Amino acid sequence: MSMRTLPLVFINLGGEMLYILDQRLRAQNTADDNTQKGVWSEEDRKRVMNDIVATMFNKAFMEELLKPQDLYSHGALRRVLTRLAHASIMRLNPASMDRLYELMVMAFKYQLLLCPRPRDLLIISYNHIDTIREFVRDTPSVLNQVDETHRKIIEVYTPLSDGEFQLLRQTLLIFLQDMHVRVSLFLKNKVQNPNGRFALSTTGPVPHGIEVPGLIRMFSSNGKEWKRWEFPTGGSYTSSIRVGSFERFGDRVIRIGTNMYSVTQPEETHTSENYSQKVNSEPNLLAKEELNLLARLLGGMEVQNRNTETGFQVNLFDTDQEEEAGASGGNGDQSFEVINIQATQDVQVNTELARIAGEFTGEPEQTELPEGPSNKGDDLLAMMDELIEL
Amino acid sequence: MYHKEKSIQIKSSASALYNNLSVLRIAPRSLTYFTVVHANMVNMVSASWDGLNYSHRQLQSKEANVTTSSSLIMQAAWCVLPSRDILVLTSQKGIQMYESDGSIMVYWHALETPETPTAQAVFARGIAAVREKYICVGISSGSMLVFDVPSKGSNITLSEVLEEHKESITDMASECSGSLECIADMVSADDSGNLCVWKSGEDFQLLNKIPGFDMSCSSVKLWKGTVVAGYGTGQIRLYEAVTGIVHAEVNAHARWIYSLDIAPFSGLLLSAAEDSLVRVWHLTMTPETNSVEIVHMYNECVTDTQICGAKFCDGDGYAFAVTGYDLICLQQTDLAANSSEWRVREENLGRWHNGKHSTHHANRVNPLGGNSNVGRSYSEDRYTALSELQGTSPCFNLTLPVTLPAVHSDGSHPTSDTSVAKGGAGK
Repeated sequence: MSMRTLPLVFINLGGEMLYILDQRLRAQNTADDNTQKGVWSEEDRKRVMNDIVATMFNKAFMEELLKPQDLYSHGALRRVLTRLAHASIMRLNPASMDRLYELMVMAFKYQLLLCPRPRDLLIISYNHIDTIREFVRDTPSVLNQVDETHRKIIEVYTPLSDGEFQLLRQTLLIFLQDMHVRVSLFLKNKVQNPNGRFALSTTGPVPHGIEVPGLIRMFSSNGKEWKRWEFPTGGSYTSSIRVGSFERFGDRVIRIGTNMYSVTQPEETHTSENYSQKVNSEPNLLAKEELNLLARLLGGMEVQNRNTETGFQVNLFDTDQEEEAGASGGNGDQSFEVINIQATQDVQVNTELARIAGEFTGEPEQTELPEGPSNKGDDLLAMMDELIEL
Repeated sequence: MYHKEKSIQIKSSASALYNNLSVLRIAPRSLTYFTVVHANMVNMVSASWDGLNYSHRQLQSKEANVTTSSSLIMQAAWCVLPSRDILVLTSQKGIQMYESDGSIMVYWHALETPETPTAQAVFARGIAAVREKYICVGISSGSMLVFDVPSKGSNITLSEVLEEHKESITDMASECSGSLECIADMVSADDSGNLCVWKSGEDFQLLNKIPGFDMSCSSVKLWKGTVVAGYGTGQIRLYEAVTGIVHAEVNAHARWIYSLDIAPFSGLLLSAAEDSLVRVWHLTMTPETNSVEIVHMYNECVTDTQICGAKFCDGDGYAFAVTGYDLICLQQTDLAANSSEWRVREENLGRWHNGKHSTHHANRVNPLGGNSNVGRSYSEDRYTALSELQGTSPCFNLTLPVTLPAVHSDGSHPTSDTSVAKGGAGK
């Protein structure tokens, strides 16, 4: 269908990946458990972010993406995103990459569904770019790449009509169809139901350019309104708020696509005006399932820091109450509040690293049917290999 | 007014596409067919009226070249013509036409695709059966293909290409009231909201062009010379087709409208949108003032679902079916048994049973009371004639004097039925 999906897919999925990685790396850095080894320093974290962003916003890479083409398959997209994730000193094993991909994709699906107007997909993309800009603001060369790309995206996408944006959105929704992975953050915030489907509200402001439903107007043949009356809408809508900025800078207004993993998010144990939830003492099994996934993701992250050892332990929740309640040490994840993760030991790490390194030069997995005369994404992979310095 | 019936499962979930539900009522076999598009496949469900038998079939999009990536289907719809019903599938690669049960493909038209992909997507979308022998299909470039369809066989030919729209076609509709007095036969809509009104014939004639002001029109219907159009802004507008005069404007939905349908005998209108709501309206014509009035009747919320298809299951609007993105079922809603409309329907059926009607254009009682002296669509004509012979009721959900023909689990029917279904005696 739409030939213009790829650049937005990469910016949004890549952006989500960076949000997750940033949050995980910060979480390890701020943990004060004294058994922690191989801490990611502030410098390490910034280096990882810079390396990935530099690869993602590389000029030639973006130009390749901006060519009109069909959307890649899930397999091809995952391969390219895996290479992207490995464009730094950080390594993820395939299982962790699987989980990371699921999280990224579900976040993007949520953003697509809740996107008020199809054109607002650009605002969502710009929210991602804005945050990415923050990640690399100390590195002028990479910052410049991000700005250049942003300019290019504005140039290419601004002329598209609403109908073309809806086609783009429909293409992406077809791509993400039938995915119902439950994400603990979404379940917690009640934006996702226990069955994996997202909650769509029938209240609130209407999107910009849409009238509040409820009015019927009749016109005579000379165009004059001669009758008007209202009907019950079954929802409770208010007028739209102001439109967000489609420029390189400005108030985007729409919050979808901003970093929901950031440390400034309210803790789930606190009650606040936004989240009027009590502390949930009932173990939420589904949320635990997703926390396990995050844990496994963490378990797969090793520090390739030549001077330090590679084991570490992380608590996902850093409030005292929950740390006390959690199981101490060990490798169990029996507690619902705290999951303790230990990285694999040296020997395993080395073999794991060797295998992953092998993937870079190895053939792509033959897990699916060929996608065409030339495998989609292969050109892109080749380009990324040149960009990545191992 | 209405109440929800049980859901019908489909083999795979519905894709987020405009007008993603098509319904065909086969009265002689007491069946209703539904189609829902899922990516590169069409799910067909055949549901018996007693709610006991369901059979499924899946149709794949045809790829021009097996090595290229699979072709996404944009729309699937039945075209009802006097002597046959054709199921049309429009995709990125072309247009496929099948016999009504999806068993045999009778025609394939490939779209021209450029060597290297251009920024403009290529696909076919928008399907309408017009008068006795035309099927029209829209293209992403804005062109419309007119196919000439014989009364049987596969000798379907491309009769004309209409180049009036400049943006991608979103939907097309033909005059559905059955009245022969209407001048306009068809309306087409595009991504910028422009509407073209046509008269069919050897050469289709453009009667009127209604501007859209860049508000994408995703769904359109034509009834008694009135164009009913649903927009991305959530609004519904009623126009007089040949003059373009706006009769009414409704701020109907809070999100993009995905589907409109009209029950031609009663003038009920169904609208469905991404805002999870399905709304039922009533249209009344007042010939004295030459205007159309629209009144709101009913709302239904399909929780946490962006609806992409909603259709009445019969010409009176006694029931409707809905499908939504990622939903793996069709939700059916039926006129509530305790409503006043139900009593009217019972009276109406009594008349059918006694065979009191005499002509094809007898007064029909619509679900809202009053009479609407409307002609009927071709399939209604055919099955009415047959039901006169068989003495069965044309409406479902009632006890029937004749046993229903069995439906095999693979969707095939006993051979004795096919001769009845293809309208030998009635026409």
